[in-house]
Amino acid sequence: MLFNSIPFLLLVIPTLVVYYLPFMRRFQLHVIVVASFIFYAFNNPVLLTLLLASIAINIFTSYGVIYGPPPRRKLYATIGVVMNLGLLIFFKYSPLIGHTFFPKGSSVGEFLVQIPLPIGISFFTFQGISLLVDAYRGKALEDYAALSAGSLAKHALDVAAFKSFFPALVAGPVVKAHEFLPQIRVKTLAGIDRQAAFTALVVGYFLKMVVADNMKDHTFWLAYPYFMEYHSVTLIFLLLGYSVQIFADFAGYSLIAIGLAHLLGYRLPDNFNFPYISTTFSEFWRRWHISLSTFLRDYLYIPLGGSRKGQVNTYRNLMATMVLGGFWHGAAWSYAVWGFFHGLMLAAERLASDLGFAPGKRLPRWVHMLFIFACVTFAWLLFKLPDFIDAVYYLQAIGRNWTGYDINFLLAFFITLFSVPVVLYHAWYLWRRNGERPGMASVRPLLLGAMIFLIIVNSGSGASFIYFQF
Amino acid sequence: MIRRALLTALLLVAGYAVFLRVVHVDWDTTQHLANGNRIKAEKFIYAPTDSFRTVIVGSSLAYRLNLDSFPARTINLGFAGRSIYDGMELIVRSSKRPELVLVETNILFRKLDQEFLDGLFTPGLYQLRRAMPMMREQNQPSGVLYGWLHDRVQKAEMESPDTVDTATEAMLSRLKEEYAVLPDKEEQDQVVERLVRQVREVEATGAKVVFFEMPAHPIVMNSPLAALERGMVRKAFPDHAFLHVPQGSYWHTTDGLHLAKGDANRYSGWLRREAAMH
Repeated sequence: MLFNSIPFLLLVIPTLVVYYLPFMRRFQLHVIVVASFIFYAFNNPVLLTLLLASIAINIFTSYGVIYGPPPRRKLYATIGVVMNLGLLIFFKYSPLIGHTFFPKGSSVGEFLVQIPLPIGISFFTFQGISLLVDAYRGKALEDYAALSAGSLAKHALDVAAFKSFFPALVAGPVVKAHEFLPQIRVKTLAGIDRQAAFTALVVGYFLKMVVADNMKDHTFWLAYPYFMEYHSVTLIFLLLGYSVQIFADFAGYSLIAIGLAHLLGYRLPDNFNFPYISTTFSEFWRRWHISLSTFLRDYLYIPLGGSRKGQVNTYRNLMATMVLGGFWHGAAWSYAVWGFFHGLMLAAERLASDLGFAPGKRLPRWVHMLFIFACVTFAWLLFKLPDFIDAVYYLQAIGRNWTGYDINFLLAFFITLFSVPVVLYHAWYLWRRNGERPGMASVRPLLLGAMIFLIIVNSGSGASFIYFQF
Repeated sequence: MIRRALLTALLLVAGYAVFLRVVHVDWDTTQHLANGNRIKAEKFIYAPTDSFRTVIVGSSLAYRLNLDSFPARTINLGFAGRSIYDGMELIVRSSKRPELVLVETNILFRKLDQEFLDGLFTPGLYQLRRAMPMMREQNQPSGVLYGWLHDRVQKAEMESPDTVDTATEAMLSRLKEEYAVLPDKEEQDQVVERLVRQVREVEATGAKVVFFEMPAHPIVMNSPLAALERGMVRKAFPDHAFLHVPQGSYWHTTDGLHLAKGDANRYSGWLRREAAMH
């Protein structure tokens, strides 16, 4: 079910009404779980069995970790993490394993290739892992454990609500257990942060429905073999357009999720913090898909040793984390190459910093910004064209097609037009970075009103969210 | 803040509604192919029942037909990237009653796009767009702005319609390969069954159905797939008129499949004359 669909409205409005009825207060988590199951099962009810299996695994193993005998806790945590990863690997990577390691036509290979990818599996398995690791580490869960008082039924309900929480179920943000579980308590209408919810929902729907959904019809041509016949300038515009689209699509989704969570009385972590103003790769990863990058940092990079075991191991850990992060996005080698590229850049930055070498130190900040944006944008090519060879053809076409083709001004016009809101969005951040400025408070409602107007009259054709495929 | 934002939105909506009433937007507001498809489809479904005497249904090949060559009450439901089945389904679902429906026969093996049709008839949104024309695709501010600017630029430099081939060797050899492959018998039977069913539904609205074939590069016209499609239509509808491409002409295309603008105009004139006899 899509956030920008009529069926979703028909689910969320009654859910909110029932959720806040005074006599339903004791059953708020039940309401969340039921609504989440309907949300997840809407397009393919069979997949609900997988979500239920994943929830069951995490209920029992995390219960063992929190309330079991101390010598067994590590065992329960290990079993839970292995089972979560097993589910993820089986459903997400079997087709890649089938293609790569088994000859065409072999029965095992054919079986692996046919395994479907359940929507949201990358997100809810990572949440399960965070539950087990947080429980094992006792991270911010002491109060929660005391509240649950060892009741398996209460624990099961809490974990089911955490794992299936519909605003974040299929495309994040990747909520960690220590961020969500301590928030479980009775919610009231008065407790809703209305302004935060309203702002997140309006900006989120605007980015998705006006910017991303319109842009996608123009970046449609960024596909083999269509791009082969375009002028190099048009090809660069298409790439810029896709960079704007992927940001608007995913940041839009995240904001809608955050806004919906506010309506239910929960705070989800910010997932984007104006990433295209970054001046270094490490800053970019502190601003882009923050919930994933902090997950990878806390549950992979640091356990691998982080930066504590010498320079060489630090670079190795960075590369390993980013390659695995790339693979998390999709079961194709181009995602690994994308992760490798970012890992390499992060390691190079680290090396330069360790050596006290600061290239371009005297250059203005905006030059650094443009450089990082250009690198990140070129790397998105591997997202849009998961067949690695197509990405190579695209780069060749940019180099080759400077003559013999006409610049497509229609595409250039609309890509520029729909990029303007994203440019202004980042400019707004830079403008207010040094604190609130006079007039800002009066401009904000006007901007939000203009966004609502454009959602009504200028939305693109409804489309799935890009990150659903991950 | 929430109240002020909602009030601003309301004022902008009202202002835009007034703008659309005062400034009659008669220029082309198409932004891209998919948007062009929806504009045409909405123009058709929101028009009064008897607005169109002739309806052309087809794919991106028929999309290029020039309606200036046809009588006023004609609409071209040739949809880029889509099929004849979408156009025929629109006629039936919108309860229109055209007198003549011209059905293109070049692309029979492409399926009906359910998502496209469902998007047009989404309960709630369908009624809203009927009541509030500003919510229709044609009136999107981005398209209105582009069309207005484009109109000014085009008036300044009137371009002459092209009649040259721009298809490259690579395009043609790819088409040759594609059009040499024939779908299996089961798929052919399914297509015929679907075509017969949909034509019968269109005819049940009172329309007369006439088939026509859009010209293309000889590699396509003389291909096994084109011959198969012609044969399927003739066999399934032996009593229907079929307007074949006039012999002895060479047709310039942009990519082997789609007519260049000049030849699209020439063919449109011929098709109008032939259609007038039915």
